[in-house]
This record gives sequence, structure tokens and C-alpha cells, in this order.
Amino acid sequence: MQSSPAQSTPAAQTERGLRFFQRLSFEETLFGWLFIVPAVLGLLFFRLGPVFASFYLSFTKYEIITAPQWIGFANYTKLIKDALWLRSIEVTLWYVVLFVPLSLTFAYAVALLMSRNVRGITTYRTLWYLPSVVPVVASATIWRWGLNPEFGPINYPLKVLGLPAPRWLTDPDWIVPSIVFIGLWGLGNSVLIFLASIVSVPRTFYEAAEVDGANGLARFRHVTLPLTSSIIFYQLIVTVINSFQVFGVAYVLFVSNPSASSAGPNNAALFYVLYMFRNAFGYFRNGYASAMAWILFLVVMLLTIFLFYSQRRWVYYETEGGGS
Amino acid sequence: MQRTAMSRRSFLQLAAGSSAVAALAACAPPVPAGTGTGAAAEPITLNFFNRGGQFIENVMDQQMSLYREANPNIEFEINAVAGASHQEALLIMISAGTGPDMWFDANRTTGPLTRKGVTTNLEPYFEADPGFNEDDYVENVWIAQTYDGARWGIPWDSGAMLMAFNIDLFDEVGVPHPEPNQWMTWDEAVELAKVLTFDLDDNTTNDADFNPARVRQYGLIAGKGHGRPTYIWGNDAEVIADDGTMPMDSDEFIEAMNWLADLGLQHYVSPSPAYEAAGEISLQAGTVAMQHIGVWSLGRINQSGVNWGTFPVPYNKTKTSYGHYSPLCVFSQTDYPQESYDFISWACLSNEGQQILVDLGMQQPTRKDLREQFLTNSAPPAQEYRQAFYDAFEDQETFRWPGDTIGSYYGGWYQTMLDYWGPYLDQLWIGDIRWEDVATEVRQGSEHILQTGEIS
Repeated sequence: MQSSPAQSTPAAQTERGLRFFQRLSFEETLFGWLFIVPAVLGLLFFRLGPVFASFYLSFTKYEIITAPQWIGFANYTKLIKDALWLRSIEVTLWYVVLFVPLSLTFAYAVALLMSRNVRGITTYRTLWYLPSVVPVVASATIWRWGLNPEFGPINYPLKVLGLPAPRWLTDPDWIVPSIVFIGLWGLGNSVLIFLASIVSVPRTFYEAAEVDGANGLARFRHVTLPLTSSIIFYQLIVTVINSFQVFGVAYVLFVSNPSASSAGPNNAALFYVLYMFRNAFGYFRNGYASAMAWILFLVVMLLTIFLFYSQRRWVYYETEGGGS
Repeated sequence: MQRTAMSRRSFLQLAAGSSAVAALAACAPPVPAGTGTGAAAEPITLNFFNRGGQFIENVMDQQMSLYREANPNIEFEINAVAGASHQEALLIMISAGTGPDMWFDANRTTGPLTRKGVTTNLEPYFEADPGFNEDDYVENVWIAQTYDGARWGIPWDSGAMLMAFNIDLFDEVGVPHPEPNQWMTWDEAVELAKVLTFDLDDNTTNDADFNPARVRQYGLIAGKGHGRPTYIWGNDAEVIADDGTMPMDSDEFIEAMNWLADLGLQHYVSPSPAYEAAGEISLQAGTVAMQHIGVWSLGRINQSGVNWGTFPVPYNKTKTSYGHYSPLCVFSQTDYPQESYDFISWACLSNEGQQILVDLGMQQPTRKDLREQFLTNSAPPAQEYRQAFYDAFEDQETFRWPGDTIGSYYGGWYQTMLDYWGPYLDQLWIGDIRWEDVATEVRQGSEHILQTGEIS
């Protein structure tokens, strides 16, 4: 095959090659966009669309069956005077304060245990993870029985030992701790993430610490903890966000339980999202519920920003080369 | 096998062309809706939203099958929720633009749904329906569907509420059966319940060793939900007064509420959240001797094989009876209002449709011409006990309903009030409070709901 002089010069070859790659790049880009179109459309219509719609609705009186009516900030000002809204904040904050530190500590402690190389460790890990694959409806139903004050497996031994046996799900003071307890039971995912971070700490750090004479506690404090702090931070963010959004377990235990009221005695299970849901689909107050959703969003966002800001003081990123 | 190469350009052209065709197809006008009998041959799919459990689904399945025999052009698409949260599910469906054409509603939610415009006013359909005759139906059956002088649903499920008793458990103890027209006082009922309550060691509440936390059989379950007003009226108190107030802090009201709580807390003859039991506690489970029930339980009790009878709800000062029905409703924005009305009126009002409800024990017939069939049904309870259901409903001296003083069932806000009352009642039933501790607060909150429809 004979080529023309223009085709054979290096400059021409380079130019042709560039054109080829530019064309290829355009087609590849086009195909790339085509492939992500479903995801982008989904994001726009099913995520961002409702988000912006709810922002608009929060300034309206919207009762689902009729068109929204603009009422300005009335929903927001009404919230401040709503005793049930204030109660729902109280219940939710109490849950967050209890659950976040307990769940992180508990999951991290279990992950530390599961990181030990002992016989049967894979079985233990599986057993710890199992509850997290149980659906929330099933776990709430199981614990409705498990926390029965008379014959439940928690109270029975307490009674045998002569210890006080709480009315877990009927005493207003014990309802939130009970739901925290149920949440701790299903921490398999957190344990798994912590476990992955703990076992990925390079052995060389521990060996160097041993050479320096560090005991087990010192190795944990100066090696394990800092090198897993970024994962602790991630878990902290996720747990805080999720803790403000408790719904399923409270709904199953109280709202859908024919023998219980809608939010437990003294509204002790009136979590923020549960009250929001009731406003939207129980009382036809979708605008009001949207205002609640945006306040929740702002609170969670501010907390997340604060946590991100605070991480500079306590989170260690290995790639930075800095210390915690 | 020969492979055909396709260039990217061709592929893109083909994809774009297909998308355009699909988009055009989606924009095409839908198949025109039928208009009842005039378009009987046109296939129509009616979306029905059910609630309750398997038993209710089976009843509806039978009705739909029979209806389709005469209306083969009608198809039913059914959605269902099993729990008590059907209103939430219904509103979510409507929010998503997929509201059903009709649904099985509850007496507690028809008011709020009507007040908010979800239900269809059925009066024009009754007027236009040549088969509808007001005189065919028992009086008072429409109370829970009537708001502002119009009916917004048709009674499908339920009837009167009475005390039901387990004949075998009475015989085991050797206690005479209550007569179907025997009005017991509260004190008499409690004394009777005491000898029918046993702990796991067969102690009765009269024994010193009785353990209220380990009870195998309770003597009495009073109706603390829908049936609660019966005890309030029975003590000369009011749920809603004729001036639109809710005197829930009157001495009589307080006494009635505390008496209900004390059945479990002091007399130990009723289950209480303070002493939760392990197994099912109900008449049909054979663990309760007397239980305040509604007709909607009739079929389920019979399914369990319990031999039972009935008698009026005990009173303290004034004999009172009560009952209600839960309806089928038509969505106000359905594309098929006439077809939906045709089905629900057949299911609820026709002799043919209602017979299924009566035979399966779902309903005390609202049709007068099915009365004998209900009374002479060979399934328990016996005829004289079945008659008690009618007596409760038809005795105008005793029959009351919540809101009868203002002509509107709970003023249209029963579910909202239930949500509001629940946390207080939980504390009362478990013994953390007495009713007088919260009576004034609950009255104010309840009156606020009655006046505004707003819980807060």
C-alpha cells in the first residue's frame, strides 16, 4: 500500500492522530453522558425535584387534594408555638445524645474484639453482622416481645436476680433508651466498617511502637485510634444524620401497633420524623411538614459543618503526613 | 450466525428515533372512560384500596368475583395495607397521583377525609339511583358517614357493639349465662368478672395469692377504643355536648375513665399494659370470658370455634348502647365515579352483595330484608343473642353516638382526636396518671380539634 507524501509527514500524522482522538473523545463523552442520563434524570426528578418542591411547599398551605396556597412564613412561625413539635425535638435530641456516643463506642469496641485473630472469628463476625440484615419491621416486632416487662428475655433474668425490671416500652422514661438499645442491636454495618479500618492499619506501625516499648493500651491510643480516626469521623457524621431521622422502629412499635397509641405514653416516642410524617399524611399538612423537613435539614447540615470544622483537631489523615 | 456491525452513529440515531416514538406514544390520549351502564361493554379497571387483614381481603374477593359475573367489563386492581395506617397509605397514593377509585375506609377516618375533600358526596348518586330506597335500610346505620347533612360513604363493615361472653368458660365455673337483654351494672360486671379471672395457679382475684402479672384467663375486656363512649354516657357524662363543648373534665367523665383503668389496675379482671401477658388475650383465643366487641368480630370469633352469647354493655347510671359502620368510599377525583358508586352500592346495599357480608360475619345487615337471615343464621351466637345486636342499634332510648348532639360524628375529626388522646390514655391505662390529672388539658385540646380540625 502506497501512501501520499502528505500522509507520510510526521506533522500530518500527528494532526490526523489528534483529530482521531478528538472525535473519539467526543463520541466517548457522548456515550458517557448517555449512560449516566438515567442517573442524572433520577437525581433531578426524584431527588432534587422533590427537594426544591418541598422548599416551595414549606411556604404554602398544601393539603394534598387541593392546590398549594402561598402563606409565606406562617408554617415556620406556627412551628415555634407547636407543643408537639417541641416535644418531638426533645425526644429526638434525647435519642441523638444517647445513641451517637453509645453506638460509636459500642461498634468500635466490638470491631476491636472482632479484629482479634482467634479460632472461630469468622463465625463471631457473622453473628455480629446478622442482626443488621434483619428488616426494621422484623427487628421492632422481635423487640416488642423481647422487651416485654413480664415475660421478655431481658426482664426475666432481672426479676430472677431481684433487680428492677423496667417497663421498657410503656414507661415514658424508658422508651427512648429502649429504642437506642434496639438500634445498638443492629450495628453490624458500623462494626464491619470499623473492623475494615482497624485491620487495615499497617503492621509496621505496631512493630515500631513495640520497639519503642509501647504496651497494648499505648498502641491502641497512639496507633489504632489515630489511624482509624478518619473512619470514626465518617461514622460520626453518618450516625448523627441518621439519628435525627428515626422513624421505622418507632412507627412499628407505636403507630402500627393496635395495642399502643400513636406515639407512646406522654408522646415519649414522638420522634421528629414521625411527627413530620403524621402531619403530612395524617393531618393533611404537607406544607407544615415541609417546613419541618427544612428545619431538620438545616439543623443537620449545621451540625455536619460543625463536625467537619472540628475534625481538624482530632482526625488524622495519613496522606497529609501530619499527626492528630 | 452472521453478526451485523452497527456504527455508533447508527446506534445513536436508532436510540433517538425509538425515544421519540415512545414519547409520542405516551402522549397519546387514553382510552375513553365508560359511563356506567351506557358503556357496559367497555373494559374498565377500577382501582380498589383495601385495609384490614386476610379475612377482609377474602370477603372483598368474594364480592368482586360475584360482581364481575354480572359486569364482565369491570376489572379490579387491588392494593391493600394490613395495619391500622390505611389513611396514611391512601394519602401517599393520592400525593403520588395514583389515588384509588374507591377504598375501604374506617369510621375514624371518614370524617377527616371528607372534611379535606377526599371523599365523594354520594347524595346525588343515591338520588339518581332507581334501586336506592331509603326505607330499605335500618335507621342509624349511616351515622359515621354523615357529615354536614350528606353521606360520604356506604356502610360495609360492622354494626352494634355488645358484650360477648364465652359460654364454655362460664360453664366451667358454673356461673349462669347472662341473658341477652340483661343490663348489668358496673359493679355487677366486675363481681362476675372476678370469678372468671384466673392466674396460672388458678387463683382468682379474690384469692390472696393471685398474681396479676401471670394471668391465664381474664374475666372482662371493656371497650377502651371505639366502645369507650358507651361507658361515658353510661355514667351520665358527655363526649360532645350540644353546645359544642367536650366536658371531659366533669366528675362523671373522670369517674368513667378511672373505672375503665381500674378494671386492670385495681380489680385485675382486665388486661392492662401494667401487666402484659404472653399470649393472645381475646374472646376468640379462649382467654377472656367477656369482651366488648363489635359485629365485625363475629366471623372471626366463629372461625375460632368459640361458643358464645351476648348481652348489653354494663352501665352505672344510664343504660346506653352504641354501634357504627365503616364504609366503602369513592375518591373525589376518580375518573370513574359512576362505576365506582355502582360497585360499592352493590357491595354494601344490594341484597346480593350484602348477603356475602352477612354470611361471612362481617356485618349486621343494614338491609331490613336480610334481618331474618341474620337472626336465624345457624352459626353462633344463637338467635336471641343475635337479636341483641338489633336491640342495641334500634332502641332509641339507649342508642347514642359520639356527636349526636351536634349531628356530626366526632365533628368529623375522630382520627385526629384519637392521635391526640392516645398518649394520655396510655398513661391512664398503665396507672401513671388518673384522669383528673389531665382532664382539663385534654378537654382544651379536644375542643381545639373539634373547632379547628388541628391537633396543634
